[in-house]
Amino acid sequence: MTSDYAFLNEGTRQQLEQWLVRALSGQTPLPRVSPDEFPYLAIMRVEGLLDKQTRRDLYSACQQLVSEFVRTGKGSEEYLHSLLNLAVKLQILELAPSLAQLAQKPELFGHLAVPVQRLVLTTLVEFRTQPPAFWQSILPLNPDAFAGVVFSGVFSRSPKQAMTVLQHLPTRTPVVAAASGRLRRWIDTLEPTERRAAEAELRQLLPSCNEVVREMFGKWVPGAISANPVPQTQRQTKAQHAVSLLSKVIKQINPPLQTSCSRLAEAP
Amino acid sequence: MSCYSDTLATLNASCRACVHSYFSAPTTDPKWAQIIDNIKCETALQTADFKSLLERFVGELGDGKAPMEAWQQACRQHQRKGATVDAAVLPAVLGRAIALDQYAALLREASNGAYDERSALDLLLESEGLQQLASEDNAQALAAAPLGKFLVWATFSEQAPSQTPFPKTDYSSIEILTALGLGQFPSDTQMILLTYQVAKHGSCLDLHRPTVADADLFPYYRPHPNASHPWGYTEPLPPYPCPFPPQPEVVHSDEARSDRLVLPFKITKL
Repeated sequence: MTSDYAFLNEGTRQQLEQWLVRALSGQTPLPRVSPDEFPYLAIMRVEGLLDKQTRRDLYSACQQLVSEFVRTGKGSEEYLHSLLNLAVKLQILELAPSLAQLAQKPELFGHLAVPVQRLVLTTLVEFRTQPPAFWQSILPLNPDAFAGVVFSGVFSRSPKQAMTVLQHLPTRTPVVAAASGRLRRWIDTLEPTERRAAEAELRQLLPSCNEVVREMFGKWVPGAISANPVPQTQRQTKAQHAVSLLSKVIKQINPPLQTSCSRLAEAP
Repeated sequence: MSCYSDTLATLNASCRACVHSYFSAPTTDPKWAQIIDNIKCETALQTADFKSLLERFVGELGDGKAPMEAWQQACRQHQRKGATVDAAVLPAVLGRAIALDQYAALLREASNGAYDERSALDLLLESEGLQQLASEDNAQALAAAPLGKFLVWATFSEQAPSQTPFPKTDYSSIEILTALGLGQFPSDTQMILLTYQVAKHGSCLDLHRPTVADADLFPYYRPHPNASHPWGYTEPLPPYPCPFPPQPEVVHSDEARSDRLVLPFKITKL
């Protein structure tokens, strides 16, 4: 197979770039394992066969094509899917600032199709360069479409903070299931004390989440409220009401103590 | 069904001359040469579809596209035109081998990005060989992943069509790549072997015999010479150490999701 792609080592940088554009669009035969394989995966197979200089050229050609997209916003979804995923595979981290700026530039980002917008964000998730604050700023742009990728972006830097994204997740089961699986596996790795704290935080957050999230997490978070909460007993309700009243009284005389009482009132 | 030369005769003179000149011209690209060879040996397309495919190719060339791009565009307008596999001989389960990275990417996309690449891969690696996934969230996330993109190629067991075509405990990547005629790639390409149901919840996949149009620019496809056979066959590649019989192959649309999976799935060893 090495000889099949030797022409790339022998050609110019410009020829390599032309080949790359065709390859990213699937318009040239590539070493694909199956005909429906994403072109970027096959291009990475070719990359492994190139000499050092040609690999460098491939890296810079990919970088240039992404920069062009950032400037113009142009390209078919299929082409951009492969281009941005190739940039991830080649770990062209220099592209992160310009992609992050693009995502925060409504005049250009807003004109991209939602799947392309999500591609840009997915690329940033894989680069792991953006802080949770960046992801929090992205969420309001389109919570329904971006909550999954925002969850992932925050999770990659701080799994604990990712819990706060749960209340924005859509009701689509695959998105919720993925978030649930990732948080569950992370919690499984924690020390018992940290684990109990994380579970308590989840219990506190879940009531503000949609029913799909409550149901999915209710299956593994101890004591979590399920999608259809079991009615509280009259005794529990009265007790919580009493604590709540007490809390209001204490607020007037001792605010720190009042905070503790409020938490007690919210406890299941 | 019609062969290439019969179809060529049905084209108008200028179209015929154009097709003939492109497909007869010498080429230094062995993959393009193989694709042309496949076109000339195709038997599974109806004359009208084959004619339309070649006319479209000429049209795309006329729009200024390079031959391979023109061929690809024409192919994409003529996929799943091979005969539908008759219900009487429909296998109950299919199998497909795809790169592990590809399936992880499909899983990531089905989650709208809630999985990143690493976590999607971890889920697959941890779930290999399990008769049931470890948790319900894993199962529900996986169920949404498409079994392929655009057009799905699959195989099955002719001897036992209700059983997985991957019955062994372990497979190596090189064994699968060469046995299924998928290409001669570095053996570090890890593959996932999926088995899935053709009929599920009252919805049955439409299976078609593959054609050159389905193969697009994939040069490892080989047309089966028997025009009336219900499905195609792979051509095993060297260097598989012992003779391996050609495996049946069919194509279907990418609407199928992983809720059709029959567990366990397997991951090839390097």
